Amino acid sequence: MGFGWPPGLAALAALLVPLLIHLARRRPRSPVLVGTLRHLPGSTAPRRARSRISEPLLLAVRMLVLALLALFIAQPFLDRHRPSRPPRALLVIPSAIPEVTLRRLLPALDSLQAAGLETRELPMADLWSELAELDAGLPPGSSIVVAAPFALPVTGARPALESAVSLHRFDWTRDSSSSGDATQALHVSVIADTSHRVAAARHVAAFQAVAERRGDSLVMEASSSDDGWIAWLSDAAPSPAVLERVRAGGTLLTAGSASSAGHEAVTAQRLGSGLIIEAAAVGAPPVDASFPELIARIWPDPTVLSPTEPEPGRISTSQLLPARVSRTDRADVPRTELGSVLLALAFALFLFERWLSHRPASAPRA
Amino acid sequence: MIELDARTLASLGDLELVARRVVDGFMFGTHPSRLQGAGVEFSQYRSYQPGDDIRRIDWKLFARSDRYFLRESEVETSVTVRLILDASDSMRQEEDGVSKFTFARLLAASLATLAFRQGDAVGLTALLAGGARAWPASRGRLNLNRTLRELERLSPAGAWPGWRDAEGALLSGSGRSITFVLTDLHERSTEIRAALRKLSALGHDVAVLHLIGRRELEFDYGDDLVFEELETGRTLDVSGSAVRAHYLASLDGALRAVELELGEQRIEYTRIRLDTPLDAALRQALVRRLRR
Repeated sequence: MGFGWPPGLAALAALLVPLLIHLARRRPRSPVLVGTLRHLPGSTAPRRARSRISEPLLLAVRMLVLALLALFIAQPFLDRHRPSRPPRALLVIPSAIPEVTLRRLLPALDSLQAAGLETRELPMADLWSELAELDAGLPPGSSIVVAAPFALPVTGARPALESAVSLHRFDWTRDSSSSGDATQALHVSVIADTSHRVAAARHVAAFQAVAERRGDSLVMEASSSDDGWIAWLSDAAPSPAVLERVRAGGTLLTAGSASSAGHEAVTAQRLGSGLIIEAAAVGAPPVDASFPELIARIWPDPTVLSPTEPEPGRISTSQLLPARVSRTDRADVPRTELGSVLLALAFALFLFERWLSHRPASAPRA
Repeated sequence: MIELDARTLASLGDLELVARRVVDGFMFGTHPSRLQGAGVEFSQYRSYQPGDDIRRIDWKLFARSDRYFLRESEVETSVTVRLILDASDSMRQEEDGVSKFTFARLLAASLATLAFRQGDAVGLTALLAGGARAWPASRGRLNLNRTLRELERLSPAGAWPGWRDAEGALLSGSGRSITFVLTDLHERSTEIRAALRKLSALGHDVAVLHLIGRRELEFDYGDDLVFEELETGRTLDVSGSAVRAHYLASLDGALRAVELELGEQRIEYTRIRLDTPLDAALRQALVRRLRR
């Protein structure tokens, strides 16, 4: 249950009025002893005495009427979701995962299920609408973990969901049985001038270390493919040919101006379809441990460093998470408005109160 | 003249003393010849018969006529004053510390004392729960004392009995009588008026002294009220301001109706407010008889 206008609940303070009057007038009244009640009006006559709020039942009914009116002002509604359902945690994976990959993931999925995560397969043709549909059926406080391949097929505006959504990437294309290639090739060109020769060797070693750790292969080439990596180890600016490769989709690693900002400084900027990553760790002799870590962190998706709008189809997951809203803020949440019900109930109680206050006043006392 | 209000007199406690003071107050300024005691008013002469008390021979007439005549007075034709006291619970209704029953008791004692002074016989009947208690009419100080003592002992209980229960007591006694009924006229149906009607129909000279309070007449009770009916214990929550007009109209109608009804039956009706000084109340009770 929620309220369309929660400040309206302040009207509940009106409950104090009859209560205070009741307490103030609770003093016992001594009866006026008379010979006959014949000349006093019967049940049809107005009796303000009962509206004096002296009777606990009348007081309770009146306070209830006020409470209902106060709730009415606050515009209450009921979500159609049953509020009693406990939150759920869902692991959403693409239904397009090949069977062999799924078998490989099975132990991990089982452990997640044992931890309370339900696994749900979605086509992910239109991820946002599918997630929105899934979210609408979940109780409040649920969470959705989307484990998807790198390229998420997201289109359209990001939805506002009540469930907490987190995105996790995994690369299922490495499945040997499906692709026939167990490893992913890292195409790297290391271009160094004479003063960076030693550094170049160490960079090659760093790339190799990263590739080995990931189980990928490293292809060193003098002229990297368009989407390959280029390590520019020179004090001079990258050559136009290198920049052209970057524009075509390559990734350029260079010390650039970041060298003056300290070892940890890493910046990224887009150039055409590619990316220029300036990191102090690049080309700094001797190459310290931060360089392999940098490579490990940004490979194979250097766009995680990109603050700019990502390339369509290659969007950073940090920008993907749907906005989280409470269900009450969402206009599309199906609601059952309670205002008319409360008003009808208040009216019925008011009639009951009128009857109570005008009912035949007294019965002979024992 | 000091007002003999019922509250003060009731606090004296001595009913005989109170009654005497009330009657004294009542007699103050009243022409004595109109209310001389029975036995002094001339009725007729008759010839002396052997056995008659020679003290009753009119010697002045003997001097003129040389015959023995006895002077007969009204003593033999004096009335019996019957006091019928409504001792139902409704008479407990109080105003300013004086209940209707207390007022009725004082007024009855005063009437009894006045009747005694006039040489009339006084009888008392109390109507209360279970029927009526009657003390037969008699003359003399002894009877007055007994009447006052019984009045002191009486306390209200229950309701005015039905005619069957009260008939014996109400119709007791014979000869010329005046019946004073001291009541608040609160009845469950028409039992009081029925009794009055029957008494009147049977030739009794009935005078109803209707006791009513000022607040009762004016509905001067305030606003936030719980009324309790004395005879039944029923209670009623009312707002004084809301019911006042209805009450006054209803009471006024009822008073008019009862006055009219009693008048039609030649029953004397006198309304006496509880805040009336007792001697004035006594005068109100007797004013029509004083004019006769």
